[in-house]
Amino acid sequence: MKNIHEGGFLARKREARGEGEVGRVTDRVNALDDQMKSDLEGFHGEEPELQSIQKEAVELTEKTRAATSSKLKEWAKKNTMIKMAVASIGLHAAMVAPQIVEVIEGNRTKAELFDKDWSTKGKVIHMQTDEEKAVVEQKKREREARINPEELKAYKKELSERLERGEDLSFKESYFGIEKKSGVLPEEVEQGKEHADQLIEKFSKEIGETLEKEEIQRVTNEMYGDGNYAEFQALISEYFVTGKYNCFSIDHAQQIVWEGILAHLTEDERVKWSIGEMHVKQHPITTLTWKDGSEERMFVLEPGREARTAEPEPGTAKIGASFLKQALVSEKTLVYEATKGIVAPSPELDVVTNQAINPGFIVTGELEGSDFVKAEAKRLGLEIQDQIIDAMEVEIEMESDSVEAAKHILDEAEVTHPGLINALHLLNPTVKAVQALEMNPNRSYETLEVGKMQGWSPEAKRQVLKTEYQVLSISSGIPSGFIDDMEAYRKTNGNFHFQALQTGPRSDSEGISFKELRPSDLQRFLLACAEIDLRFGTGVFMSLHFYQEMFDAISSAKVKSIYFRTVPIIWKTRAFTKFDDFSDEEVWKKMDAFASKVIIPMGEYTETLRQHPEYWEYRNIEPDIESAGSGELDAFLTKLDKGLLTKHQLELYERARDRFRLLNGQPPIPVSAE
Amino acid sequence: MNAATATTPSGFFAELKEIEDAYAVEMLKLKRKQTEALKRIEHEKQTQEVDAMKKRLSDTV
Repeated sequence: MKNIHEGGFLARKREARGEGEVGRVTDRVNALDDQMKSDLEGFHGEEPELQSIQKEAVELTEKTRAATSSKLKEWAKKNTMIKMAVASIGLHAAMVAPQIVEVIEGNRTKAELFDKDWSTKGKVIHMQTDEEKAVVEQKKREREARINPEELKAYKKELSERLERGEDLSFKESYFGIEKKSGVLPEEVEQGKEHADQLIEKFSKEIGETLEKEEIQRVTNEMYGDGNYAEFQALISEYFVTGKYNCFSIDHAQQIVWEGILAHLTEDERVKWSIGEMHVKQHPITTLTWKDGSEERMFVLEPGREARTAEPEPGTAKIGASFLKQALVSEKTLVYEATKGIVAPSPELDVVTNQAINPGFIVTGELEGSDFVKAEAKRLGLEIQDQIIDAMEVEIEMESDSVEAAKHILDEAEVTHPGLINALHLLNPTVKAVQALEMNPNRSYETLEVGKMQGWSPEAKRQVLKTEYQVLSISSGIPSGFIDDMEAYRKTNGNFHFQALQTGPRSDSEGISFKELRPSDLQRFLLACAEIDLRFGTGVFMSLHFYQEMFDAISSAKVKSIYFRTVPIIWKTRAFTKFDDFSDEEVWKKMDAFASKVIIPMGEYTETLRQHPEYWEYRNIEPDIESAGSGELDAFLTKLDKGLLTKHQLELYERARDRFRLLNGQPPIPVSAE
Repeated sequence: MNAATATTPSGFFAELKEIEDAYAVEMLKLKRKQTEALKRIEHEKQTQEVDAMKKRLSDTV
């Protein structure tokens, strides 16, 4: 099982104890600095000649500091983990700090861009708890009990014969067909198939008859979604219905979708493309290869991956579609030999999955590690240090409850999460640990994000409600007991300090939702949120358990505003098809009729209005101006012709313009100047 | 020194050693220079004091 991990606490702890490379480098650099200070103390005297020598000595130490700093900078820049460790242990040697900070700041942009493209796309592993394992095992048992082995065998044989006859067997038919015969509920398979068709149709329409790199990346990002990774979710049908996936289900789903998209291209264009699968260790990733004459490029369909040449690389297996299809229906397990390469070991995870599809082949040979840190290091061309591998143990270790863990979280925020205190891994915090999360000297942080609160003590849960961060983000569901706490807090203290409550996954893979909440509890929750902005994360509306009652409760709730992080296709086709299949306009109409103001992402707002200018009439829906970036604001402002604006449009225009100016360091335009 | 070597700790230490050595040599030179200057200044002071003493003696004689 793959291990994708972006921890690093353990390495940093080791560094903090002075046992790692950073410790040794720090000691060495500090020793030189101390030596220079001591040397300088030996230069004194009022005579001009002595003063001149003293000046030379000062210049020599400055020159040496500059040279050392330059080397440190170069070294830290190329060693991501070390750089993070340096920052998190708070290396404050006078000569080092400014340079290190500069390096971190310089790289932060790069890391952020990288995060945006890749690492936050469901890449944070959530360790499966025993409770979750039991649920998955139960589902698996139920599914397997529905299998008729003879029927499955006969079905595979039939597919195999069709392949032998040279028939073009599609991924869609094979995968869905086998899932159905493997005990996945027929209605779930049908629903999955239907959604797959909708996605294919949507993407094909958007792409047209030729295919560009940007479109490949866009489709990939959209299919991965954000925060939908669930290690144990290996059913293709379930992916298409819920958006949740693990590497197997997303890989197979991508093959289905891309096969459908390619079929819509012109014949001349289509023959240049082929679908495949790359195995990095036991981690399958769909590939798309373009070949035109002697030119060849391969796209590895994981967010953030660049196109690469199709030359074999050591330690990977690149498998073509025909082999995949053949293996899928073969009676015997086929063997695929990976390209030889030297491979470092990486830890395995103990995860129970409910996987109906047996790909029918194994990859042998030494394969490169598939973990996130290694992949990132490789992508950036870095040498992989042992400490990076060790860092994977970390999150388990960090599932502690201590104040120390909270402090580590604050340190981590300094380096990797600007604006966000990510406390997802505080699983059973003490009240003091929750309080420690507030002891952050940098008040620019806006959001406190906590994870699974089921294990929290009642006192710790009550403590988190006292947070003074502007946004409280709860990533894995609202336990009903928490609603009692919210009500009690409001009764005693009035309004919350935080101004917005975000629910739903943001960066963890924990599937959440309100599925465990009874409609009456949801009503109470919405009432408790009366004075705040309520932000629904992606996962909230992707649950199969999204009922009409929930929609009614949310649409009639009177809170400050309701923010939907994602309204795109997933929201429309997955959530609402449970009881209806809405068009764009129907969804907007529904949102317009909400009792509270509805906020949606700026990009989506602009794009929808570009396609449907008549939607301006839905004035209850507004773009998320307050967190929009410069580019999004610019696109929005450019779209509006200031001379012809309605009052509603003018108000949005002015707010967007003011924020745009703020982001670009310009003062707001005074009212009298307009 | 190739800049790429600084990307590994061992490369970094090797380059730091070069910097430390260069610093130590230059610092040694400056210390010697200062010692010589101090000696010279001390010598000049003593010469001046002796000269001053001689002058005072000749004045009183």
